[in-house]
Amino acid sequence: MGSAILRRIGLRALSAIPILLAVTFGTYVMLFSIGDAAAVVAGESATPEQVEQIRSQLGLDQPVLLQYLTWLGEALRGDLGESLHHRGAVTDLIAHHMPSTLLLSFLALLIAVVATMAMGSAVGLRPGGLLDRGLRGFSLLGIAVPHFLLGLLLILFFAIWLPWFPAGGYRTLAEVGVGEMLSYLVLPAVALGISLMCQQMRTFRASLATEYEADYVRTARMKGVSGHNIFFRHVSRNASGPLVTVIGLEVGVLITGALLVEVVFAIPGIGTLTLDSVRDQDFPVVQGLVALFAIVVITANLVADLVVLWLDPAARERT
Amino acid sequence: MRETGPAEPAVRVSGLTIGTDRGPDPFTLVSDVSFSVLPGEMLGLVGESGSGKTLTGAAVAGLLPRGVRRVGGRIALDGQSVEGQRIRRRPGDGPAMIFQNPMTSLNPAVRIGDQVAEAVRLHRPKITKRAAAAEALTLLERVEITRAEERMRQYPFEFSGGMRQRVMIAIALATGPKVLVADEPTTALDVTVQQGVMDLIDRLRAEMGLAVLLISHDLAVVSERCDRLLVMYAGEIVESGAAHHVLHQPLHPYVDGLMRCIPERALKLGELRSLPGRVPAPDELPAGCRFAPRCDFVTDACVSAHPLLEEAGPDHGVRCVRSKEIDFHAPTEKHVTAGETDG
Amino acid sequence: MSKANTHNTTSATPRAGVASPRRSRIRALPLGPGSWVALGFVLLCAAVSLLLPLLPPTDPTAQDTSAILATPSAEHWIGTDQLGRDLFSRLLWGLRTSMFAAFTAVAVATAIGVPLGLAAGYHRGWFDALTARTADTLLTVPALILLLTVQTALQTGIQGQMVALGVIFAPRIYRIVRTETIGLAHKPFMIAGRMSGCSTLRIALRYLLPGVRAQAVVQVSYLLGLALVIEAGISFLGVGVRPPDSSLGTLLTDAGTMLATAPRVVLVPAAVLTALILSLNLLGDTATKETQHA
Repeated sequence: MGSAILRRIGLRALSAIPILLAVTFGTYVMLFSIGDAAAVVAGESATPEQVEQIRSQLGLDQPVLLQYLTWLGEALRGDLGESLHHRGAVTDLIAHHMPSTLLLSFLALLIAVVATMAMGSAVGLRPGGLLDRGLRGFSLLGIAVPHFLLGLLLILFFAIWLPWFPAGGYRTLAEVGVGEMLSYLVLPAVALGISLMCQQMRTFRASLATEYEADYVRTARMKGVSGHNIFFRHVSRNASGPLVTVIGLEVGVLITGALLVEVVFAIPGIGTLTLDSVRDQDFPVVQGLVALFAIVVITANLVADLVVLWLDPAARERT
Repeated sequence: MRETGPAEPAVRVSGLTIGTDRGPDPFTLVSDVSFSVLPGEMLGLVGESGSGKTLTGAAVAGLLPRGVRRVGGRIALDGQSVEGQRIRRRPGDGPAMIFQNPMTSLNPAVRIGDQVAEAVRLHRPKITKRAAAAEALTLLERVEITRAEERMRQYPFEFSGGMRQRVMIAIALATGPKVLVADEPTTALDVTVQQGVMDLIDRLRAEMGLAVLLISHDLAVVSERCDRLLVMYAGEIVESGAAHHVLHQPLHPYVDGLMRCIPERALKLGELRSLPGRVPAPDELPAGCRFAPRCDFVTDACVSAHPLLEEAGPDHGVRCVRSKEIDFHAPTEKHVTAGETDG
Repeated sequence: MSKANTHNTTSATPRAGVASPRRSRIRALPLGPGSWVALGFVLLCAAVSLLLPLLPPTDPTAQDTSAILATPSAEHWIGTDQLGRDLFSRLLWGLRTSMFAAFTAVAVATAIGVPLGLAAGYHRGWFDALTARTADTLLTVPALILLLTVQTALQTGIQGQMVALGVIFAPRIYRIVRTETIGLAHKPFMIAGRMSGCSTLRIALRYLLPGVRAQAVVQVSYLLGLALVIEAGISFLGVGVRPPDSSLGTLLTDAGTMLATAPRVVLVPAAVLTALILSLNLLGDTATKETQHA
């Protein structure tokens, strides 16, 4: 059984390789063949000769496939090239901006999952009740409100009208204590977490409705399991599969959501780095970021698949 | 039976009426059902699907589905009346129930041993985890699951239907019940294992003095296992009494019709029939006798007033105004004539 | 932001028994009251966007320095902004830009996705394999990130961006159409059509297209909402619609500075944007339910 699972992971990981290659190659062609990095570096006042000189300096006059393979070879060794605008390696830039984004994403996911489970357990006791209908309306609304707008509204309510949290910015642990650092992340994490939660609620509610009808729930009632434990010990586990799949898919939402929310709250994270690189046409940084995002998305879906597998004993044994 | 003399019934149901919870137009699903089951007795409850037999069983076990509740009548366990909806005052209290479909009655994501042990622990809150697991093992062995120790660690999908129903019985036993409601326990099982599961239930009844309410649409199973039986139709009891009376000298045309649907019986009677029509839905019950629209012997009296369940002999009740007149054992031509005069 | 992700997965799962073309059409009735309101609101927004140039002149850029940040009045229905521009006309013109942008993206996506999906699902083989892999690859990276990548290289305006977004969205339509087509290709009426000698084009138009239409419409509805979100997002980030042009996104760009002083300037366009996306999602949900019943 153990080796079967390992083989499955291996196969899935292998099948991700062509996709990763295609994504990075496509991005590379887009940026370095269709886009003109040399002109960007040279600046607007440069003469065509200067541009050509820079082009050959950067190796951009070579066939694009060769350029890409060079990039790929270096990327595999952990070198994503140099930023066109900042002195320094792309990997350093990414590493520098990573912690705040990771923390923000983690908090947002945590908020979303905890809220979804809590509300799921409450709704499960009374499907079709007031809470259930209210939450359905709320989740429909929550999915419709763009993240950045939610961020703005939260700033308006909880930073301006009620000055409970800072309206933006970020402090690292090196600068302030844990409490203060978190206070900068509360509103952005909530802004990001609410829409994740709404997405999850919709899925979770649907699978809960199915599971509560299942015969084993009646068996649990016969045993005398309390309503609360029927949810936590019996229903939630069987209803979690679709939820986990959605969480895996939500990583894409998380990436774009974090981008916008970081801008709204002026958090120096990966999102801010992405936006700056796009504005500055910092091709190597954008290339590196796209590769990173693709890896994150693929990994998240892979992990979600495995968790779903792990949740279903029958599927686990079959593989 | 362990006791001598007339024992206190393990469960006594009187005037049980079950209806939909609310909504613009609440209607009654089961009306005025009364019976009692003695310790060590197996009472058969027979009817077509839609007759209300499963709801009756669920009410006894305190497991009525959402949106349905007991709107009238009393249920007494061991002589003590159970108030309101609260048959399960404590976790694991009250009658146990096993269900028709053992394939879905167990939680697919939880190990068998844990599912049994959970029931043990809910019934005996102070027991240690280890002792509960040991008890679960004993219970699984008791329901004749081989290699029980090993199988405790397995999941439901690794069990056959018959084995799962045995696990369900083990779970039911873990709650230390005096009453077991068995709702079509063998209907979903392969013919080859049906006998084994029924034997197990029968043995537990005898050994533990368990009062069993056996719900089934299968007259053959019921006649083989029960001393007494009730026949339900459209939410009410139409005939009740000692099994051999009800089965061999039925007084209600419906029961007679049912008997003629059993091939072996029909051989003796010389004709195999099927009952035309279907059980009326609970929101379109006829005002008079509920079986009247399907009955060969219907008269004006049947349609005008709703018949009562009347004593027709020692321990034999029937809900039919014409029960004394009809002679089912007369040649079948008579049925046809009776049918033709009406329609 | 790719909020249609999960919608994709739910609607992409092959449904038991794809109905015949006649049945799987989205039935107009009965819609719930919520769906009627949603439909009405979307149609109203569409009508305003189309007819705006014909309406009495409302210049969204005219500055009235005597009325900076004016509160709502008969002259300025929802007041003015920090430059004294009439918010209501800015809202309407912004709505028009956003609607056209979203429509462009979805139209491009449909024009690419539907034919490719039909061809891939009907013929299968290498063409199917190739397009399916391409779609998988495009779907790996979030739509906004792809769009920003294109923007980095090309530095185009909003029209170019929305065409690019259309290409990025195309796999979502392609997938639905392909799945539905595969389901339909083996239905008896399809086989009958083929045996009676219909040309491939005729089969595609007469049999396949009506069959996949319901699912495609559901997807289009969600994608319109998603396109609005993305347009608002990139305009908010300052890389989409640029001043002096306005869209629902640019109207929110000033939000950071205006929130404390005049939240109205932010809240009104925010409400319109949210209501529009909500309506489109609601219609998508309703259409999903309807097609599932069929």
